[in-house]
Amino acid sequence: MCLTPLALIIDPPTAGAWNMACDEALLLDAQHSRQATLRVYQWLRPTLSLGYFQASRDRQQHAASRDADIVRRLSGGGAIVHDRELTYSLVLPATHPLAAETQTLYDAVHTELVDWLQTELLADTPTWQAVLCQPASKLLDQVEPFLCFQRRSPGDVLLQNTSLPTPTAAHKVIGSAQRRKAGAVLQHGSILLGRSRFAPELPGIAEICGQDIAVETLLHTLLPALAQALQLDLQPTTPSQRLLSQTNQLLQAKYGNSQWLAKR
Amino acid sequence: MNPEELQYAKTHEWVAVAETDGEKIATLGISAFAVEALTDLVYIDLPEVGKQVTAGEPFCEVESVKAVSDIYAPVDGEVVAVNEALPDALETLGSDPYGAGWIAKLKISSEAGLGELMDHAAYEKQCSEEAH
Repeated sequence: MCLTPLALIIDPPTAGAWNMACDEALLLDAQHSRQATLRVYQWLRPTLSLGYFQASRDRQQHAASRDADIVRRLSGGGAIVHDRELTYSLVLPATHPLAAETQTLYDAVHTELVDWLQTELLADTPTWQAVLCQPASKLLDQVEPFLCFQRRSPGDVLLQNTSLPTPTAAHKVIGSAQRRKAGAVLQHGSILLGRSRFAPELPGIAEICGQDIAVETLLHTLLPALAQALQLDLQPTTPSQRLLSQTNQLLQAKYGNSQWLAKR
Repeated sequence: MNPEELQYAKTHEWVAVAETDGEKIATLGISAFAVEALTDLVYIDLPEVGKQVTAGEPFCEVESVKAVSDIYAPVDGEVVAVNEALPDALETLGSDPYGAGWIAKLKISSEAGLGELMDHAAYEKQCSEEAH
């Protein structure tokens, strides 16, 4: 079988604006180079990232995160507190079969994440089961919660208490959102490792499973499994000078600029 | 509007061109195929009236189930009207994509982009190929 090369970038924690600029640079690059990339990173400081269409004033709704940094993402969905959390950005060119349909890509990634959670973290924890969310249809005028992890969309990854099989006994621990440009796609995903003091209402995997997760251990087991499931050939790399240059341009012109945050 | 009489861009926008007071005005929307692919739409960001747009460049953005996508201008021109009812009635894009679901009207400044558009039969063929 011929696997598609997937450049893997594991970045050290950096500021939110830089993280978002780098992800957009990867998406722009994918439009021209057909390069598929998986970038995995954390954030230098606790940061609230707004979904592309969210109003910046809405952060006032969420008192616990008011002192966190803030940035607007290019991808959709609800706000995320990036603190005890791991972010991935999967960028696929238009030519990749998984880029064509929104839900297909969500499901491909999240199905593997469910399997990984079940195998690596929940094998000895029968009380909890990892499942894909299958929410009831939303009403047209239903107002979505501010935080991504309080929303429920088809394919979100939930940890379900098997002794209390009701929707309220399930906690969302992985969510994703996309940005599409000329057929290329950026899928942002967030893995909620632990509860943050900036979002104390959200338990993470650590609280639910009763064990802390070392990021290095997580990457060691998760990334190969994810690449295999998506039929992509992981090729560890570092950001090119071209990517860094594009990132810096976007940082100056957009993500580091208050007008971008105040866009809505 | 009858979808069989419209022209289409590769990026799934439809165009109806009419002549008014000597000006060519293009009414734009997105096809039923595109609306179905986008699934449940939750936001649309309409362009501002007066904005100059270029064929092939994004002029409008929509968010579906957590995916933000661009809508591309099929022709060069100036936005002269937008469907202001649309943001509060996004279901219209699905129920009447070629009528009440129109997005914007452009005063065409160059006919260059018009030659790139497909007729209904060619567009149907493209959709059929994308669906498989």
